[in-house]
Amino acid sequence: MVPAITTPSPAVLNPIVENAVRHSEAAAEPDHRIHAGPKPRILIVEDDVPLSKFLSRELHTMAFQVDVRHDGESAIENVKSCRHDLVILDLGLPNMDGIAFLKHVRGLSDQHFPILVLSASSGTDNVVRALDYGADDCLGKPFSLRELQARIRSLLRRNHAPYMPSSTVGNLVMNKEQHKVMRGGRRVELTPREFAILEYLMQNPGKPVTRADLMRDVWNLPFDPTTNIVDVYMKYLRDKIDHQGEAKLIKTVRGVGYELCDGE
Amino acid sequence: MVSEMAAGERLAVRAIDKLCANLADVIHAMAQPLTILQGRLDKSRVAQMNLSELRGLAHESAKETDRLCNLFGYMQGFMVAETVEPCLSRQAVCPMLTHAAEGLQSFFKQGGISLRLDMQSDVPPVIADPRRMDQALSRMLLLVYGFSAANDTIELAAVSPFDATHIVIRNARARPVLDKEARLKLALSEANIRSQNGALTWTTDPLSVQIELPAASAEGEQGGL
Repeated sequence: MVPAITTPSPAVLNPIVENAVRHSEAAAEPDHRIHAGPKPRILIVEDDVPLSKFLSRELHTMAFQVDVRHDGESAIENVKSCRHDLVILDLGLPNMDGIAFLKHVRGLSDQHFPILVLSASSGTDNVVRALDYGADDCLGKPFSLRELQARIRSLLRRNHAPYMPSSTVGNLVMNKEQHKVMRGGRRVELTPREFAILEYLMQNPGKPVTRADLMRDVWNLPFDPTTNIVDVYMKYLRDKIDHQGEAKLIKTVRGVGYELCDGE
Repeated sequence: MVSEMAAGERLAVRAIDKLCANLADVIHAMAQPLTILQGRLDKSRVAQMNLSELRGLAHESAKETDRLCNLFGYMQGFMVAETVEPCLSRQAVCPMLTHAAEGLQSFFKQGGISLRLDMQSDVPPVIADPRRMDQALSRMLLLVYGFSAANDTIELAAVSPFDATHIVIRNARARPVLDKEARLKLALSEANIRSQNGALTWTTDPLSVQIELPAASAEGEQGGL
């Protein structure tokens, strides 16, 4: 049975989903997601609680999974128990400082994630030491969020499959750098969330994608059968991608989810 | 003469080193709220916000602005303590402590915390700057208060073991892990007391701050100044 598509009401969307949607739609920057599979998991090791909360919220908005630890020892426990794609590390930590954390973590044979060091000290000595002990990049505080985002993208690209700035399915072309989608010669205007959904579909062309996949990898939330938010956004996307008279690129796969095909 | 000058220079260099280290700590602390503000106030994001979101932004940014202003105050405090001469004079210890305690007594009471004064009757006068002493005592009392729980007792004691006077602010039940802000408060008070030729030390198990001040000589001279 094809799922009924309705406009979401506050009663349908749970508060977590609603919040995630609101944040995403309010985001001024294009959502330059670079991941093809599950959401990258980022560990923030920062003892300043307001700053770590702020960074965590911003990275959630960028659709990352985020863990936060406020000291080196608990951060080491966390990296041993979870797989991370990136660690953002403040050097000035209590008890075990950032350099000691680097030494310890780089000594673990099974941990190869990139480490982005945040440093508030103006001297270069600490930065040089951090790089020598295995940090992959350094960023001085205060920094702009856009620079942080760009460095995260850069580090994740290095650690993942080659980043493709554009992808094509049929006559649908997505340019991720410019946050632009064209179908034939027609420009398709998408919100950041719609862009993220389409990007995910284009990373899996010709393969059915489940609602649970989309909830997990685009919304960064567990699947909730009581909400039809995925279906609502798929309708928004379809209305923009598949105009009347054009081949239908987004197909519903009954009992499974959705599939993007080349229209032939 | 030469050795005296060398000793004086060494002291000056040490004071400058101390000031630089303290200012570096404040600058380090200021980088955190500045990062949050820079991120929140990104022009392109602000341009897309509606009125309610802008109100939320202003509310959240105000907290970080307050934090920055406090830290800026620390910076000024360090500069004053290290570079402005204190107004040293002979001071009786008990009235100084009583004055600082009275100013905070009702505040402590609201938090359910008792403040107990314990002063030896024979504590000799000290050479101190009363304004700086009041600042240091109030700041340290509030610091200990910040790590205290309801029904705790904070002791404010003055004892005179040898030729120096010791003031102790202590909560026997508090065993805190000091955060960066607490360390800055302690460093500021340490600079303040050092500027009066005294010394400030602390322990955290239990939380106790000790201030040592030089006693004034019986003739009323500013001993050693």
